[in-house]
Amino acid sequence: MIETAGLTRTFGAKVAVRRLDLRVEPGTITGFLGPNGAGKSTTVKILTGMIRPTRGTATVAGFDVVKEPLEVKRRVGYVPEAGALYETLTAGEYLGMIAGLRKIPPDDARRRIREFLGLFGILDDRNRRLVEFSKGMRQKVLITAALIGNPQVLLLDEPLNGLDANAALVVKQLLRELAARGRTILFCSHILEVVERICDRIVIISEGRAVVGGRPADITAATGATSLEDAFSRLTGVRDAAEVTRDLLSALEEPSDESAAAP
Amino acid sequence: MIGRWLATLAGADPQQWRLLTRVMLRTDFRSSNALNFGTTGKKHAGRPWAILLLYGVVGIWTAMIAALFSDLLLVSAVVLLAVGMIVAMAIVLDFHSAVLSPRDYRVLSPQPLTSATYFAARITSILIYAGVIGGLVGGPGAGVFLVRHGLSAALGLALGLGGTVLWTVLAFVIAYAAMVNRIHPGRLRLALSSLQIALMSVVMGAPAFMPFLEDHLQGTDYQAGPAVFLVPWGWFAGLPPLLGGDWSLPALGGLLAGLATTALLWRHARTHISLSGARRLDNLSSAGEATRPRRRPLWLRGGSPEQQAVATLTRAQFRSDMNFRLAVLSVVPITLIYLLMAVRNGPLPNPIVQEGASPGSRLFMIHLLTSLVPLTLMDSLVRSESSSASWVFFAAPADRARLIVGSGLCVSRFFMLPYAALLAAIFLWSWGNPGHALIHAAALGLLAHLVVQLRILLTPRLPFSEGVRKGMALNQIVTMGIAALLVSIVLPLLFGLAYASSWFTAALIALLMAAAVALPRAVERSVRARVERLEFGG
Repeated sequence: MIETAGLTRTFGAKVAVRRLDLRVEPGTITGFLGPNGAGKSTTVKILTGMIRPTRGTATVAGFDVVKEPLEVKRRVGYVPEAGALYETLTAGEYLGMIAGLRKIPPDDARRRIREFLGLFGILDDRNRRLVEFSKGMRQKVLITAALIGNPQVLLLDEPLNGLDANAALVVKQLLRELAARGRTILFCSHILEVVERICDRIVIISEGRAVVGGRPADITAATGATSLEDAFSRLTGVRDAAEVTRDLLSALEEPSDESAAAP
Repeated sequence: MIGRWLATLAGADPQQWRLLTRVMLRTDFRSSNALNFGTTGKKHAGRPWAILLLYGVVGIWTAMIAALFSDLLLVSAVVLLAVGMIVAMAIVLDFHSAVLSPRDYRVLSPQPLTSATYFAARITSILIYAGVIGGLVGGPGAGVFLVRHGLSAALGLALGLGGTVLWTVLAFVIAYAAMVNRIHPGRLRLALSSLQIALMSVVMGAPAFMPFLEDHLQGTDYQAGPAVFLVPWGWFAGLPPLLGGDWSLPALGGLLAGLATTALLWRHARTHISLSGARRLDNLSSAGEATRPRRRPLWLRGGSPEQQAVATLTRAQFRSDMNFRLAVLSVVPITLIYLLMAVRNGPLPNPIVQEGASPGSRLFMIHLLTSLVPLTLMDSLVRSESSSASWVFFAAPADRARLIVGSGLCVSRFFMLPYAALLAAIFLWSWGNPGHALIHAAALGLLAHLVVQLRILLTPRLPFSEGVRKGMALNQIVTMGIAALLVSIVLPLLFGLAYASSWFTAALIALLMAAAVALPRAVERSVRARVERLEFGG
């Protein structure tokens, strides 16, 4: 279970998250959507205990993120948006470190690392340094690191970034299975088709505050939109995509003064 | 077992502490450029040859001091000063990221890890690294002590080494971490740059003070006085005489001061190193500084589009890339120190009327700078924290050879030209002859410009296209120092010949000017094929 009440986070004069009330039930996958800079990653960072809220409360798996951050971290698996890794370590060493920090018995850790890397098709690469890994391979390592401790809560910030189609399929299926086994999953993504397909609920935030929450079909219906994409566009107040496209094309095609003057 | 007990005592989780220390040592050593001597590319395994060699050379020097001088206190003070300086330099110049790393925050902050454990692992890994340096630099000296003065003196020096390493690590780690934790993020970048510039100046300016040392240490029976204990790095120097039974109040006082401040520093270090400090650094490195849009100044305009692009990029990097700014700014105090040392005994000798200057003359410092400054600047112009952004040079239809030559012209135009003007002013003050001042300053300025082009010819590299790696600063200082030394030995011979007659002088200036105009084009043609084969390394 994830629960926030009046969650607020400011960076100087900028309010990144504004009085956010959020509730994610165990056994569900909740899509957390919003335009760039809406406050998704900041919210997730607060939930992992990486940064503190300015005001409001947040509890994860029954523990307050400010008062008991270690208990929260023990129960959370996190895939960051821009995945930082110790690139000079091999994949095996990195995952071994994460398993060690989570006090997973070495034999269990080795078995889980082998199984995960095998399922992702990178077992033979486990002794290569992460600096040599492609973006997708790194993402597979980050997902393995998040899942290795079998956490109660999963906070996933763009987890499918860079994954090939097969790996993405495995991850989506895995998330559904984990949710069915009672895990709480918060899924941040910009790929609305994926969110619509795998999430039970969706929360859309804009400028730091939640603008709507509910089942994807309900949100589409309530906004009178034809699709989730359309509903998202209406709720987050962006300009009509067709109109923006027309303007972009005309900016490309219209000759500038300089080029018009050129022979 | 002892480590486990100490970790528990420090409030750390012993299992996590052991694991993290191992990881930190691995990551710090593997990412060290100094440890990758003889290998190319970032994917090779590290081999500690270069760093062993570098510290080993200093170690031999300390052993020689220990063998030559008979005074235990003097030798201990010199050895411990060398160890302290090198450890401090390693932390500030190359391993400051080992103290508080933004990457640590991103990787470790979601993990169930306490600040005490993070601190214990960080301090252990730095102490191990500093201990290796201390052993290499001071170990040979302790060996000489064993042979020359017996076991107790050698043991004293070994304990002094340990104390000095611990004190230096704690003092510099606290200083660095305190800046990160206390200074407003908007000013932190400037503060860190200033600290690094100050230390870099001490390191690179130190050789300029060698003549002073020569004046004072005449004869091997020189004896150190109690003044040694006024410097923190001298506090532990009293240990060898103390253990040898030579008790004195200043030595005892120095030792007590060393022990008391070490205990105090340890207490403070615990509160200063934490993941929240790493978070501040992370915010600093990811957010950058808010800058208001500015018009491109007039002095940036002119030249080919490639030159303008490089000039604009260099200006932007100077404003936002801490490492680049440090490298550029550090040139200023070093130049001033060398120039001041050159004129410390009054006006400089005029090589034009004195039929050239010998390598040992006071012009040596100025000749050394003629190649050291452009080489340092050229090297900094290639390295960047944001080297991955250099993909644009590889993807855009830009003339890469022109970009590279443009970076050299940028150094000549914006740095070497003002330097030559400064030299002209110093020469005018020294000689009172504007013609002579102008000729020699022009000759040196043009030579610096040629050094830049030759550097490009040897290793053409795109601006800001290579990452910054630990240990790099030390390697660069040594390599460029040797190259600059060679140039400064050859220059007086050249000037001796050229200033023998006014015809020869005119010929030299004409030759240098022709070369200055022709060389960039020739270099551009010459490196084109090699530059086309360059690949994006990010």
